Amino acid sequence: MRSSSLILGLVMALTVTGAFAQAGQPPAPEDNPVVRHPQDPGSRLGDTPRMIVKFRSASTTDRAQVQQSASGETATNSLVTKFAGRAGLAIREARGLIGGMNVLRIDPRPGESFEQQLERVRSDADVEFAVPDERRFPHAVPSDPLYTGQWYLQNAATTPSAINAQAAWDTSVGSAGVVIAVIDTGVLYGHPDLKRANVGGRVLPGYDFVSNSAIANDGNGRDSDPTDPGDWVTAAESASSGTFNNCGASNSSWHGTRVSGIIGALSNNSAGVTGITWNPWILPARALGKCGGFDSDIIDAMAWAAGRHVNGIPDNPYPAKIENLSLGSAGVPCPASYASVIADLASSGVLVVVSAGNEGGPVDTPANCPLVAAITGLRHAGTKVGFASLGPEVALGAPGGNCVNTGAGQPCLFSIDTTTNDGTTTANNFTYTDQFNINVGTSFSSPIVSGIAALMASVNGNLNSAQLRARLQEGATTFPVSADPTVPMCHVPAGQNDVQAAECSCTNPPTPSTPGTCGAGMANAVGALNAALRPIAAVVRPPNGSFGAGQAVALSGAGSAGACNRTIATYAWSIVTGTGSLTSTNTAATSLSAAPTAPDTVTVRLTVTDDKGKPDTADVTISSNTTNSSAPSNAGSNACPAAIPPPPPVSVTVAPTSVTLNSETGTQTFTATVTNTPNTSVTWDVNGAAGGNSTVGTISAAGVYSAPLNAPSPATVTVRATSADDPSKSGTAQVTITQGPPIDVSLTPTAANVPAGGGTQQFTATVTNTTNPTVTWSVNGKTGGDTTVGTISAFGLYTAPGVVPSSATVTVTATSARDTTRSASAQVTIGSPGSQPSASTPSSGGGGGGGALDLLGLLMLVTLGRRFAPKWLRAYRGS
Amino acid sequence: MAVSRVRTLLTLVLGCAAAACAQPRADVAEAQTSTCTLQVIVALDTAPDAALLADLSRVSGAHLELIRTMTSNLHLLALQAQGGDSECKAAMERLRGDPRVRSVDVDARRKIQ
Repeated sequence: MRSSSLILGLVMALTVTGAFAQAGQPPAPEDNPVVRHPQDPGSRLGDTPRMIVKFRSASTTDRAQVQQSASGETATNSLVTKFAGRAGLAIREARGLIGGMNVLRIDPRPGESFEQQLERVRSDADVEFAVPDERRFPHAVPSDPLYTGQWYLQNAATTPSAINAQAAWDTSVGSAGVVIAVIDTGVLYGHPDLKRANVGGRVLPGYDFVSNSAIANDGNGRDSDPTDPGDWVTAAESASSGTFNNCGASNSSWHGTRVSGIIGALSNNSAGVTGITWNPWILPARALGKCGGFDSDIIDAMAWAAGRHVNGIPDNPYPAKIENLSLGSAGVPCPASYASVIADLASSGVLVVVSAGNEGGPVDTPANCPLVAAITGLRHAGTKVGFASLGPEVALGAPGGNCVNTGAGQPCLFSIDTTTNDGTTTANNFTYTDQFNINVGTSFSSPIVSGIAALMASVNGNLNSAQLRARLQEGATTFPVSADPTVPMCHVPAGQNDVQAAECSCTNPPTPSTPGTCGAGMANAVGALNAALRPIAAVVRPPNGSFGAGQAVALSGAGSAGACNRTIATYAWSIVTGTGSLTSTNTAATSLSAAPTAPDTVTVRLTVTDDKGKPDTADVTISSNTTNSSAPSNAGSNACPAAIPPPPPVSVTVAPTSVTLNSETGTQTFTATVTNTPNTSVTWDVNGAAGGNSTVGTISAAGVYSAPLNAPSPATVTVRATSADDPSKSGTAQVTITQGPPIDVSLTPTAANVPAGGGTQQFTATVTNTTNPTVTWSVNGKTGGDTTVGTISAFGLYTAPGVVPSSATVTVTATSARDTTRSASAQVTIGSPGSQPSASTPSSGGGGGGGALDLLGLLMLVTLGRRFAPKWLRAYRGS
Repeated sequence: MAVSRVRTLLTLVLGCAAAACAQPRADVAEAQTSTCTLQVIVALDTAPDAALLADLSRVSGAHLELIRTMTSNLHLLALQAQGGDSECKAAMERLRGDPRVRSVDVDARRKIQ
């Protein structure tokens, strides 16, 4: 007994220490950049503060007068007059409101503040309440131009299922200390409304878990790049007997990009759509590819995203608090493998949100697994959308998109607008879904709830998986019942074949935990945030068996915690069932004086209230020697999640960093090393010109630089490699170009005698001091010659004209294609038909005798009939 | 002449044998020629080394091969059994009955919704 007490005391001491440690952490600012109204309550009162006062038990006459004044008549009714006279107040302004309330402006007494004035009015016995008449402001409206189409985030009478995120954003737009994993088809990092976290975007480096390369469709199995390469399936693939048999032909879905945009498109950036969260990070864990993906990859992705180790994969440095799974398939109970990993994740506070399915029947796997938040789809009107699966496993309903105008060319009025791409196979233009590029499915109901859960975790990071789920349900809105008598009530499916494919009215369960059809209600961001802002009551209890009947049972609520920036203000203990007494009812710790005798039990309730007046309760049921409670012993110390810094920026370096090259002949292969992104591709430029040019030199896509013909001025140019992933990041190298020797062209033979009437002579041009040995051939200045002076082929084969021209000597010239100022010529004397051909070469030329054809020329003669030299010979001659 | 008779006899014997092989009882043929293959996710208390896999193969009546170890205590195995799908299911049931095995699930395909 003694040792047990010591242990209990130690536990309590550690708990209190933890609470103090929490108080010492300054929270990260989470201001809403859109909100422009003053935060100071004083400035919200205006220059002449007024109050709204309601009196108790007003007489019928008084009420009538008040109502009359509400219609516009000056409000000097008897009730207000009596009150003013009794309290000695000088009322400057009075106006009646509905419900027996009055707006009053009262002259303050000398030195009296408005708050003191309020207290004085409240102290009057006839006053039910008196509150400041404060200025209010419109809710935050983001600057994103497509926000107007995102009906599901707004709050309109015609769309009761909309989640009213706009109002919730006045409380929080989310914390950068929260990570939401998207277990899906990957993501398009390049979408301008998403972007990588280290380039000012929302998406963290994730991982590609698809192990089958055919399904992955990115050329390999698992890798560090979760970019979505597209998941299209061709008709031939679907008809084949292979991996995609019977998958059905389909275009790429860009599903993960759609889901990510709902959760966290870049918001209030005057572009595109608005995400439900504006600051939390998105972690893509790719587990689906062509025709879906397998459990073995999905489960590994789930575990990894939560920070668990997966064999062969580097650990995730950004553990997720929320995981979104917009995936599933029908037909089986929750597999044990899913159940075990979900339980493991829940034990560390991770909430798994899963779409219910699109069959209109029973909830799919893994949405039917314990501890997840399964989400079904609602129409704009709040009824279940036909395709959405339903049943007792569902936690909540959320907009799933529905089309009410489905005629040809008509818009789908209630599509879920988000980020996507218009590529039918590989990615093309980054676009958005809308009323014509429609987007519906429970896949998009789930990320709506994941986004709300992330807002909740942002304002109260201590909420664990079960608490997040329970408070999501607590904040939900009651399902409406359709006024249309032809719309039936939804029912729990009797089996896989019991499909409710048309609209039905969701049943409202009497309590959130009661099995229903569409869950506890319609997801509501404001309600959920209000629930999340409540504190968490925690109770430290003595170990079972450490006390006995009649002995004191010590309890402590010191481990309770308020939401971010809130503290526990009061503790209240009470006995709700059974008999007994408590040593204290208003302190952090208490004791039940005597444990009951079996089989009696006593239930003690702790109610904690924070400094904003929000409560939470925890019940402890005490028997003769045990205690039982669902409350934690410690609420946690992470109410304000510390902002997670983005990954290091993309870095590009180029090697070598400097080189000196000769003009024309100089070439250099540069290598770009790109770090902090799996996308290592770069684009090259020289002095800012993409690919370079003839003045500063050129550079290929592979980084091979070729110096220009002449050294530029200045002689040093800059070669730059720019990251394709982050165009603001680049690396450079300097190239200094020195003028090389001029291009030299020589010709063999230098002179020849060729008989008219078809005689030929093969010439060979040798070009040096250049990487381009190509020449163009001319006869007497005419490219290719003509029938008068003779012709010359692209390979240097001269053919004499049919008759001897007036000038029997013609000039054959080979001109460098690279530098047209450089050339060499040979003289050809055309003899009469049948005359003896001959050729001569310079004595320094080496090889070849007087008028004899060289071996190469002879070979060319053999091929005359073909008009073209063989390929290998052309290559040999460089032409 | 004698050679010719031997050839005729041999042809008859081989022909009968061939005919017998070509027309066995249908159920015997299925059992002998068809196999079922599944990928299964198995939760085990210990990592499946060669000895454990061999023992579990014996218990299940199917050939088990480790594809990869997943997270925690989960392992992706290939299960191959002689016979139709029912034999694979039966092998899974036998595997589930082994005290060293916590769970066995088919590695099923999931799709976007």
